[in-house]
Amino acid sequence: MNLKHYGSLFMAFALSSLVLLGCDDKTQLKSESADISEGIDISMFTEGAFSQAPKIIDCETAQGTKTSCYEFITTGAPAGREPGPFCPRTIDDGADAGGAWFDKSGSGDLVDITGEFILKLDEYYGDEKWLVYDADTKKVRYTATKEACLGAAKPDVEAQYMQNCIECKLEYLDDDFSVTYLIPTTPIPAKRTGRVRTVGIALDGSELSGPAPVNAILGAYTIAAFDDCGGHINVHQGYHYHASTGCTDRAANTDDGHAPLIGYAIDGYGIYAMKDSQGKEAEGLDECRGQTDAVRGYHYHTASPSENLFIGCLHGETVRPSGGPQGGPPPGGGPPPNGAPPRNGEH
Amino acid sequence: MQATNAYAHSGPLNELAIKACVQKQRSKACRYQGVHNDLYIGTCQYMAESLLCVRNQPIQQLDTSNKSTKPDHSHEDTQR
Repeated sequence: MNLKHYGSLFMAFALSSLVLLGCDDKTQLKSESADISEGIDISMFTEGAFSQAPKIIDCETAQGTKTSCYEFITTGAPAGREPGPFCPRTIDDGADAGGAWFDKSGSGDLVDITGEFILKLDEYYGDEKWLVYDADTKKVRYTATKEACLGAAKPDVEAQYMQNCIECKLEYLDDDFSVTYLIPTTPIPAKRTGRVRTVGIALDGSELSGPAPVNAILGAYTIAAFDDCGGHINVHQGYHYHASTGCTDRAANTDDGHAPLIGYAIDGYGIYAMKDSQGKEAEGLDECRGQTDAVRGYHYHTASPSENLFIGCLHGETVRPSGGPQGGPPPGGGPPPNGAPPRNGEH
Repeated sequence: MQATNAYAHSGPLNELAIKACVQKQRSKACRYQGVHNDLYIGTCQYMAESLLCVRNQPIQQLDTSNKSTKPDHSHEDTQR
């Protein structure tokens, strides 16, 4: 995939921001360390990742630390590419016509959603009730309308949309749909690691989401199809990722063979791919799947695509935006306060 | 219903990782054997409201000679 990056545009923005905002400690765009590039480097984001130029604003973390944050606003669409394809249309379709889904082993690469995969779902999951196609027409049952998307792309799949391959379109999002992220400009190590709900933001501006509710999805005999990049769409989060397959990778400006950057966690630390340039997985990770080195400071490494998670916990403090708790609804379900849309548990 | 409820009894994908953290507390060490005779070692972490074993070591391929003593889907408890 050919991804264009902000590069010089953001360098200009960064410089102008420094002029506009002055150089006090709260508005530094990057860590002051000359050696460690810990925290967000906005020049790493893909061109078009944000619907508005990122701002630096005052914010307070959930732990009570007053600091400065980047305010990123996105449209809910991945920059630089069109999402999809997700569901194949017939059981004769090959891998090019469909996307991908978690390997049932819970590890390794995603599996292609081919027509044959749809045909043999009963065999794959050892449950003869699976029937996500019409045996007469060989057509795959998929959510072809906004109404079907709304009824299916949620944990409590409506009965009429069971036995479907689920896919939604960006055009189903509200016209004024946007996603706002508040992320500390300089990561603040937390006294206690935090629980992951929303993980962060990918370099293309899409959300890196918490685990997909696979039990609800599979329990309804549905496949919440990803595209080959490991993401899919719902009307609450827009396009979002549940797996990292390389589509947002951006090689770091280092020659140490380190794994590429894929995005940033909501605590501001970088998230890197699982494997380095030699194909080796990082060792010595902490419980959050993070580690510290002399170049990047503290940073995370993702798990494999089919593990249904990116990182284990949050090393740093995170910001609780107005309208609801960071990254998701209150424990136990129910809508978040102030009418904010649910940010967790949607497919 | 939110995913936090649904995920609490997650299906086959993360089932082994969740079982590895039954009756454990957050940050406690955990390990489980996958379906391909591979070993996952990590700590118990909350994902949404469910505690599951999050791997923080590279996946280890078990020696096939161990297979007779360690059946698939085992959930070994190793407190840290």
